[in-house]
Amino acid sequence: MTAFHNHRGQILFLAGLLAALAAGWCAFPVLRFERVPQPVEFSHKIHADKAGAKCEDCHSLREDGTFAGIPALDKCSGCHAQPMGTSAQEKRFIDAYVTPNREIPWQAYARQPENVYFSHAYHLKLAHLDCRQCHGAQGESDTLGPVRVERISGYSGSPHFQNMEACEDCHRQRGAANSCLACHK
Amino acid sequence: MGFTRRDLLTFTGGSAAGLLLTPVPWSLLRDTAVLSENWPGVPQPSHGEIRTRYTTCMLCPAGCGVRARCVGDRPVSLAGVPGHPASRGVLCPTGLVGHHLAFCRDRAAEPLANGKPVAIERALAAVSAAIAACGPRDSVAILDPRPGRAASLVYRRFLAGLPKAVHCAPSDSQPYGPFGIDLENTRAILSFGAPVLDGWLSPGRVLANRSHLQLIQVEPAYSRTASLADLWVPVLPGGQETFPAAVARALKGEDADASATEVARILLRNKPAIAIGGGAAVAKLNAVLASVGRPGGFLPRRDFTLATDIAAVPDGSIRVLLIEEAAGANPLPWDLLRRKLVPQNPVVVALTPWLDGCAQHADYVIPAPMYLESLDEAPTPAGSTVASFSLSPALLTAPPKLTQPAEFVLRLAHDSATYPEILKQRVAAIEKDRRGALFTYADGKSKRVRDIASAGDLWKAMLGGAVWLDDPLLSPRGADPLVCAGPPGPALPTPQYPLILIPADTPPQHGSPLMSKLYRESGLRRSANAATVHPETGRDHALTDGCRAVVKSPTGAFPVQVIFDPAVMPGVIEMAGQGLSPASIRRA
Repeated sequence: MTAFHNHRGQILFLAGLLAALAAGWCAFPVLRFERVPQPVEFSHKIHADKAGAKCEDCHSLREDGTFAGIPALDKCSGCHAQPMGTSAQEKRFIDAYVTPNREIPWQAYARQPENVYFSHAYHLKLAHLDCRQCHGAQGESDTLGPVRVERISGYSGSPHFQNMEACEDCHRQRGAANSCLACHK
Repeated sequence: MGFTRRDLLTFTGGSAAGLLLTPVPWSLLRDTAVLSENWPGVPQPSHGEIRTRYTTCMLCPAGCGVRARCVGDRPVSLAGVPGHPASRGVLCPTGLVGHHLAFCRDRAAEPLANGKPVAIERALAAVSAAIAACGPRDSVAILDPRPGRAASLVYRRFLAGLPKAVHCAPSDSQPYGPFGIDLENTRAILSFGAPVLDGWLSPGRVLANRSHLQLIQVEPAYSRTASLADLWVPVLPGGQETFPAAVARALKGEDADASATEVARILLRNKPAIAIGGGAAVAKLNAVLASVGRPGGFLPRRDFTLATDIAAVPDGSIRVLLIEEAAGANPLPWDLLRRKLVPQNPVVVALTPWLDGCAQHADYVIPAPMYLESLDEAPTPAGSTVASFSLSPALLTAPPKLTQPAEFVLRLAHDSATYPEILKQRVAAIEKDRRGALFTYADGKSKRVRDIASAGDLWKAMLGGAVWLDDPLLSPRGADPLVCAGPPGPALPTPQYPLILIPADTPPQHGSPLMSKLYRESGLRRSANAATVHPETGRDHALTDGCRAVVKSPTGAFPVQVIFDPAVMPGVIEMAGQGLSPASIRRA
C-alpha cells in the first residue's frame, strides 16, 4: 500500500497512457470507419470457377482506353435473367434488380477525391501490371466485404485497395513519375 | 484516500501522452482536412460514361470543328477535329474553353425591360407596338453579326414585310465580300496590319499553310503577327495608304524606296502572292499582282449575302434597332450605333447572351442561349473559297427563359415556324442542289451530297457533326478586284483628329472564368478601355499617367484610362478593339 502511495502519480500516469494506447491502436481504427454492406452478395470465386470469367470480362476498358469500372446491370442480366442456381441470394438479386431492371447501387471501395487522377489503362497497357498487384486476391474472394467509409471525411478506405503510400512506393521502384502533379491535378 | 483532482489530471496527462503515440490525432487531422470536400453544396463533377460528341464552334466566323469529350451529358474538354477543312484539327485558346462560357457571371438570364425583369410576351408586344408606331421616315433595323445564315434569311423575310427596314451588319463582318482566299496555293502574303497569325480567318488553316508562305507584315506596331512574320516593315501610322502604291510601282519596275523594292522582290520571287488589310490602294495592288480570280489569290464563291454596312446607314434614321450579339464577339462601340438612332424615343432591343455590351444601353434585353446551349448554324467562314454550312448541336442544357434571336424575330413576324425548322429547310435546299460534299467529323471522311439518300439523312449526319462544302466555281476569272479591298484604310490625321488610333492587343471580352488566370496573363494587365500613349503625346494633350480621358474618332467617343508608355510611337493612341482611324483625346 505504501509503495502504491509512493508511486501513485506514476501509476495513474501509466494507466492513462496505456488506456490511450489501447483505445488509439485497437478501438479507434474500428470506430473511425462505418461499415457499409454491398447491396448484393457476389462471389468472384464462383464466377471465375464456374463461369470461367476473367477480370476483364466484367471490369473492361472501353475502346477509348478508359476504364469501364463496375459492369452495368446488363452484364448480369445476360446470364441471370432467370435463376441459375438455388441460392436465396441469387433469387433476391433477381427480384430486386434484374426483374425491375434497376441498376445495382454498388458501393465504391476506393472513391478518390476529385483532384486525384488514376488511369487503369496506363497501368494495364503501359506498365503491364496485373490486377492482383494492387487488388490482391480480390478476384478469388467468395464474398464482398463491407465498404469502410470514414465517418468524418466520407471517403472509403478499404484494405483491399491501394493507398497513396503504396502508389508512391511502386512508382519509386519502377522509376515512374512520382511528383504530386503526376496524380493530383 | 479517494480519487483526487490531482489523480484525474495525472491520468489525463498520461492519456494525452499516450494519444500522441497512436494514429488518433493524425487521422483526425487528415479526415477533418478533407471533410469540406464532401459538404453538401460543394460542386462535384458529374460522373458517367465518357463519350465523344461533335459540334461546330460558333465563337467566331471561322466555324472550326469541335470534338467534345463528355462525361455523361456534360462536355469536360474541347479539341479540334482532325482533318476538318477549315480548322485542320486546331482550336484557338478561346475555342478550347468555350464550354466554360455558359458559367460566366455577365450573362443575361431573363428578359429585361429597362433593366427590370419582364415576361417575354410583354417584351414581344412592346417591340411589336414600337415597330407598328414607326413613322414614314423611320426605319426598323436588325444588326446581324454574321449575314449569310439561315437566321439572316429570317431577318430579311421579316424586314421585307415592313415599309422601311434595313438588314445591316458590322463593317468588318464581310471583309472580303464574295471572295475567299486560296491560302493553300498562295506563296506570299503582304499584310497591311491584318492579324494574320493572331486569329485571322481560321487559325488552323493559317497554321497549316504557314510553312509555304512568305509573310510580310506592314504595320506601325510590333504586333504578335509582326514578331512572327518573315519580314516586318514598320511604317508610320497612315503609311499603309502610301506603301501599297510604292510596292505597286516597284512591281512595275518603277522607282520606289528601298523597303518597297525589297517587298516587291519577295513578292515576285514567291508567286502567287496576295495583299490584304484593306483600302483601295491594297485592292489596286492586288490588281497589279493579278491575284484576283486566280489560284493562289482571291476566288469568288456562291453564297454571298449582301448586308448594309452599319456605318453606311444614315444617321438618325433608325426607330427600332434589334441588335443580335454573337457569343464570342466584342460589341460595336455604342456611340456608333447611337448616331444611327432617331433622336426621340428610339427602341433598342439586344438579342444577346451578355448583360454588358449593347445590353447596357438597350430598352429590352432578350437573353439568347450561350454557345453550346442550343442548336445553331455556322455559315461560310470568312476567307473560305467555297460556300459551306454546318450545324452546331447543343451540348449543354440551356437554362429557362432564353430565346434564340431568330425565334424572337419569327414570333415578331407571327411566323409559326421554329428555328430548327428553318435550319432543316436550309439543309433540304443543300440536298436538293446535290452539289458539294459532306465531311463527317467522327470518321474524317467526305461523301458527295448526291450519294446521300435524303434530306433527312443529311440532317441526321449534320446533327452528328459534319460540314457541307460547296463545289468551287468553275470559272473564277474576271472578278472585280475592287470588291475584295477588305476593310477601308485609315484616313490621315486632321485638325479635328490630330492623332492616329491603332489597334492594340485585344483581351477577350468574355473568357472562361477558369482559364482567365492562365491564358495570356499579359493581356489582362491592360483593361479593354485602356488607351496607351507616349508620355510626350500625353503631356501635349494635358494628360497624366492613369488619368481618365475620352478618345474621339469618326466612329464614336470612348471613355478610357490613359497609360503612358514610351514604347508607343508619338502621335499615336493604342487601344484595344479599335481599327486604324484618326482620333483625338482629351482629359475627362
